[in-house]
Amino acid sequence: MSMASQHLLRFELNGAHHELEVRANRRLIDLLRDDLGLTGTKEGCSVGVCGACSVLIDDQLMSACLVPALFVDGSRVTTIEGLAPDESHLTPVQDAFIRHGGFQCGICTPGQIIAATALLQEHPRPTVDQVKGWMMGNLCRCTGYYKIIESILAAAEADTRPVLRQPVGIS
Amino acid sequence: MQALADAQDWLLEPEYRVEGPLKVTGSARYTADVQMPGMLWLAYNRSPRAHARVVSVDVSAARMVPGVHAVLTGADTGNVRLGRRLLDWPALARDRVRIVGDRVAAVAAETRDAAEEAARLVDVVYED
Repeated sequence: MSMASQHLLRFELNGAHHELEVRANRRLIDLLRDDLGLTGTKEGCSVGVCGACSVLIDDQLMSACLVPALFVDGSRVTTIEGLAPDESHLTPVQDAFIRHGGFQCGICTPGQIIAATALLQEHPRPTVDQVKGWMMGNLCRCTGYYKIIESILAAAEADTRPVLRQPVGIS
Repeated sequence: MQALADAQDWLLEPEYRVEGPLKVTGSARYTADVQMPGMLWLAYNRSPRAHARVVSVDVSAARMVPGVHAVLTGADTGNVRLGRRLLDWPALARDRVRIVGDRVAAVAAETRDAAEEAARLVDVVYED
């Protein structure tokens, strides 16, 4: 039984530089969740169709379950944990998802928000059809999608500055 | 009438979910996010056949994989069954498999890779 070779991975993750030894067969999703403890990125299908593992690699929307970790060498990776500028703020997309009921159980939500963030970077004022087309790679079993679309359209209309985050337990 | 109007306003406004900030920042924890020191990973060997008799299950190669703590089969668990009102689904197959994906062996190992490798190495002989 032979093991995959190890290589040095150097990349930027949520603004911070990382260097670590990684096996050639390690998936990015496992590096993020198990090795680096960033469990915000979720594994839904393992085959790149559900969008729960969506991350941004050099601002491109990608499925972390399909990317070998070593492929991000020299790249910038952004996960759900890296969107908000700090602990007391949320991005307009994140805030819109809360105010417009864009989630229920929340398991698909990190992927939805990453995908929506990429959409609004590409199309700051999307039409409903553009939202639906772009978000087709993010499945949700709870919401029926209407509130997700509404949240994204609301975020597109909102101020682009970060929103103050409300403490948990106060509505 | 005012109470009805008030109720309608209240019903139309989405509630600011208390767990909202946790879910939209990826810090809400789900079962699969829990990590504990010394925890083991589970993988199953599953039947590729929709219906077959299980002739033999050999776990010797699976047990040799480094990091494997246990490999269980139906012979180890006995007649343990799963189900809701009707407990009709053997947790681990014994004399036969009845669905593609039916569990034949369970592996507990120190890493996901070790568990999955050991599960693949369980040698099952089926007969139609």
